[in-house]
Amino acid sequence: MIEVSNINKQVVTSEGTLNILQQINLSVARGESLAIIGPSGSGKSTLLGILAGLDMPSSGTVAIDGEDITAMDEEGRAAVRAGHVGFVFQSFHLLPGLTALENVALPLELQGIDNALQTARQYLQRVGLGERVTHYPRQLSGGEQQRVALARAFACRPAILFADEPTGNLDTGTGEKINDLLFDLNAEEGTTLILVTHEKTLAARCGRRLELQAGRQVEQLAESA
Amino acid sequence: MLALKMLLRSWRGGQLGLIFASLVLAVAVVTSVALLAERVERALVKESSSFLAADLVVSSSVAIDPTWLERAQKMGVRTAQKASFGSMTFAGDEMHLASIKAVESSYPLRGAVKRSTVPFATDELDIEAVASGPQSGELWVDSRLLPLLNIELGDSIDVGDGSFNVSHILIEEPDSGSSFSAFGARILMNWSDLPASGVIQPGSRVSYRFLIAASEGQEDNFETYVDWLKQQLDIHDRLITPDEAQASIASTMDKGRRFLLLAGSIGVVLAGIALALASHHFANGQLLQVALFKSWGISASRVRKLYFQQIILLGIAGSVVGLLIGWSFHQLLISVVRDWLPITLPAAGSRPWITGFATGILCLLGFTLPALWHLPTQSPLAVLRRDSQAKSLNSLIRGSLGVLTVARFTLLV
Ligand SMILES: Nc1ncnc2c1ncn2[C@@H]1O[C@H](COP(=O)(O)OP(=O)(O)OP(=O)(O)O)[C@@H](O)[C@H]1O
Ligand SMILES: [Mg+2]
Repeated sequence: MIEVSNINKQVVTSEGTLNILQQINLSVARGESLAIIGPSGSGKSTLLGILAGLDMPSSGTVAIDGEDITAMDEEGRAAVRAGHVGFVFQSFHLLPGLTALENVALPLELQGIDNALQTARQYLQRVGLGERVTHYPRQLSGGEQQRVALARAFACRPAILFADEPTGNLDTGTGEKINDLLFDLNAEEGTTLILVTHEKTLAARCGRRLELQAGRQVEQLAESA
Repeated sequence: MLALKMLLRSWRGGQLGLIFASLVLAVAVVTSVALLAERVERALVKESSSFLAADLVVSSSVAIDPTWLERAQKMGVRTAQKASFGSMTFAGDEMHLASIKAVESSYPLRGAVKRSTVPFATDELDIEAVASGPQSGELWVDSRLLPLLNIELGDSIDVGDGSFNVSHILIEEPDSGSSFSAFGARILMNWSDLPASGVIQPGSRVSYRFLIAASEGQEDNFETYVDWLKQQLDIHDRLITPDEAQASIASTMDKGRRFLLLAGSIGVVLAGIALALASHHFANGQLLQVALFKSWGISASRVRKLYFQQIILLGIAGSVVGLLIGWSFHQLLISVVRDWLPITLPAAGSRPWITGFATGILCLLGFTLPALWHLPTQSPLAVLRRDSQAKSLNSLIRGSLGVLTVARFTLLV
């Protein structure tokens, strides 16, 4: 489903050229889960952005369902993303002016889905927030906000879900609950999951892991025990 | 409609209040000024013919030479004399320095005097147009004299040595334009009461007017008389033609209108600056939303369209509210300055409304659009950063540019 070959990412700074990613190769099959791990600054978020088509590698190709997105322009990549990918972020990124329900419904409304609010309500119920639909993000705890974000991501029924440290801002107990929910939903929906994490336990729950160190792949994609 | 939904949600979140208020202010200011200016302009056109209450007028600082009157009578030229002066009026313990005009019974030679029995009448049904001024012993007075002297219609007041019955409310004289600068309440009295009242003493500041008009079928005589009259004028006298009368009114009105327009432009510029800042603030609040949209695969052109639609919807709503407030404000202005206005104002046409509406749309395009301009180019990568504030300086510069352009535009108009 995702085919990555030989990607490099360089940025030019005032101190010279910085190699953020070097020679990354990987492939992820439909329904698989992949954890990208590594120390801070090793290039995890950069890689995730490239895989999702939000960013472009300096060289190398990324193909999603056989389509080379690195050959496309920004609009072309946007079209590939539309309706296919979902995101969950470390800082939740809920819109503060919208209620939980509206936050979940927004991407559905953008897709022009008729019963967006109804679908959104169902997904909020699935993450256990059926009673909090009219609450604004500021009225919700961090864990609850991330559950809303999960509902928002899954409500679009994405083929691939990208998550950047989804529990990075949560305490361990809450993080565990979010992880359970993430994997439950993932199993139910059959979504391909690519997530960035610091946490060993979360990485261990993924089918495969990719470890980065200073922009290089240090461990080949080891199969989970 | 998604844009409307987004707009209503932003409105509910209070992010649009300042934008909306600034927009309404700009539209209201322009609409009220434009309405006022247009109505004054229309009044000028409509009333120009009767501004003099005569075909020709000699204005003089001394009393009219009796030989002028004799000759006019002989030649069948209609005449009327008028004297304007300030005088104290008394009723019980109250007094007021009024602007008095004494007119002969033949006045006005052209046009009509409007009077009423209802103080502060605005309803046309309460207003009566008559062909001559007050009878001897009567005064027709400005509505505002009643509260000033604490009297009612039918009461008596003292002017000089005389006591007069306040019989009617004076709404408007055909040549009231010439008394535009008078601050005291206007009073119209009969010429024949002048000697007995003793209000005119040697040395009083009086402005005399000698009004003449052709009798029907005697236009040739009139021309001959005017030619003769022109020879008689000396340093105290000035001949006023209808054109001139209109020009002096027009210049007074023009000054007023220019003042209003300047005040209006300043209002618009201030509203524009508020609008630009509010828009900038709003745009910053939208950065995360746009980054999310982009990450979900919404194209830049779709984002642009969504925000453009919101601007247009907001513009329409703000302009409509602004038009209503502008209309109320211009009514309020008129009711405040009514006493100083020499004429009643006819209704306005559609132009002020169009001007006001266009102001709203232009303000949004000039002040809000620049602030939102960069939004569609927001990178979807921003969602991977922990904070999504970016490009704010850039948009501030664009915003200020918008302020300057529109400010210049409004000042030029
Ligand atoms: N546009 C850029 N310009 C300069 N340096 C950049 C740019 N983008 C990323 N970097 C650098 O590349 C490196 C990798 O960044 P990235 O955000 O991918 O790391 P990460 O593994 O996600 O780290 P963390 O765990 O802290 O989120 C960092 O050193 C970062 O400073
Ligand atoms: Mg990161």
